[in-house]
Amino acid sequence: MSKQYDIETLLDGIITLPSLPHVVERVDELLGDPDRSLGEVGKVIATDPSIALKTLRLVNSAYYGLQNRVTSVEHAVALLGAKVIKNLVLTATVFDTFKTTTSQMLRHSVACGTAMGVLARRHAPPLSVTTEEAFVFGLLHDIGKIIIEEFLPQECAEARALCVAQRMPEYQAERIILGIDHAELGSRLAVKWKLPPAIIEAIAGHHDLAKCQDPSMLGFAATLCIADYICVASGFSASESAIALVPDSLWSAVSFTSLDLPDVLDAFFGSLSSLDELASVAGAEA
Amino acid sequence: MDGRIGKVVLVGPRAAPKGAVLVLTSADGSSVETRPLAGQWTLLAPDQVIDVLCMQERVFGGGRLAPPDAL
Repeated sequence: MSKQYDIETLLDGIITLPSLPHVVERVDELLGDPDRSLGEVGKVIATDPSIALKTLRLVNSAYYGLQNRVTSVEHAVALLGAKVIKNLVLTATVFDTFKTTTSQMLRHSVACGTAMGVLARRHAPPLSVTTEEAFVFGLLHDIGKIIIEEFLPQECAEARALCVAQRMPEYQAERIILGIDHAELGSRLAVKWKLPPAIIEAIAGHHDLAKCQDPSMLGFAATLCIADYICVASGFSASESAIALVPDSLWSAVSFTSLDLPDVLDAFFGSLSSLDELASVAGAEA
Repeated sequence: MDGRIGKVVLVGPRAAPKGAVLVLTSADGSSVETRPLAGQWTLLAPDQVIDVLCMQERVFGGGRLAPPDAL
């Protein structure tokens, strides 16, 4: 029998949100200190050989299309900049903090990151994030699903069964079974990890713009919802649930019209060649 | 459109641009008009455009995306 939880009760004992991987935390600290050099960022990453190796695999993946192979983290930091490297380290480590990540979830997350990158690059007016920053939005948007699966496996199974039986999106089934949904949980994790407000708000509102507390962030949440929709419609869903519809208000929020979409879809499909490689690195144990 | 019901029919690969047609049937079914979809995007809602293009990619996309089992 399922229970109806409120988020505070869940976080007060049933669910323990994992900490941000230490290396990411340390890199973040260094980036916030103007007296630190880029070289120090590289050295911090290099202190953990397995994370350094995964970071280098990502740097050398087809996604970045670098002409020459990069063989040291310090070189990668100098080449791509510390912010990009921080996002790479996050990509390389974030799924290690969970035991229950599936390959289907990994592919969906990476595909959504790819779609967000395309939308950030092509959409006018552009989002004020780089392609690499936009990738992280997509990568993390469903992280609440992993938390539910890890800490509430029975309720998670019930919610998924309800999705299949009623042909409903997973977030709706979660609300029925649990009283909360993965977007709410994921945004709480993003708060704990001190991720940028744009990511926190986008995760919170990617199924329901009303969940955005800051109206200036609606564009991020709406774009993330569209990226998610593109992935599921393309066959890269995280589960067997029904596709979540995109409400009209959301298209209006980002001034997207039907005429904008063929080019966006072309760019998305053109970027998918690196999807399996990225998912493989993100999911490999460090 | 004009009270007629339209259906989108995929007729070719995504690589052959916008290879789909819009088939418009009159309310009594007595007449059928076929138009290339390329000039009709504005008749569709954005999520319908995504569905059409993603379906094309899944069916004709050169094997990059595996078609779902339902197809």
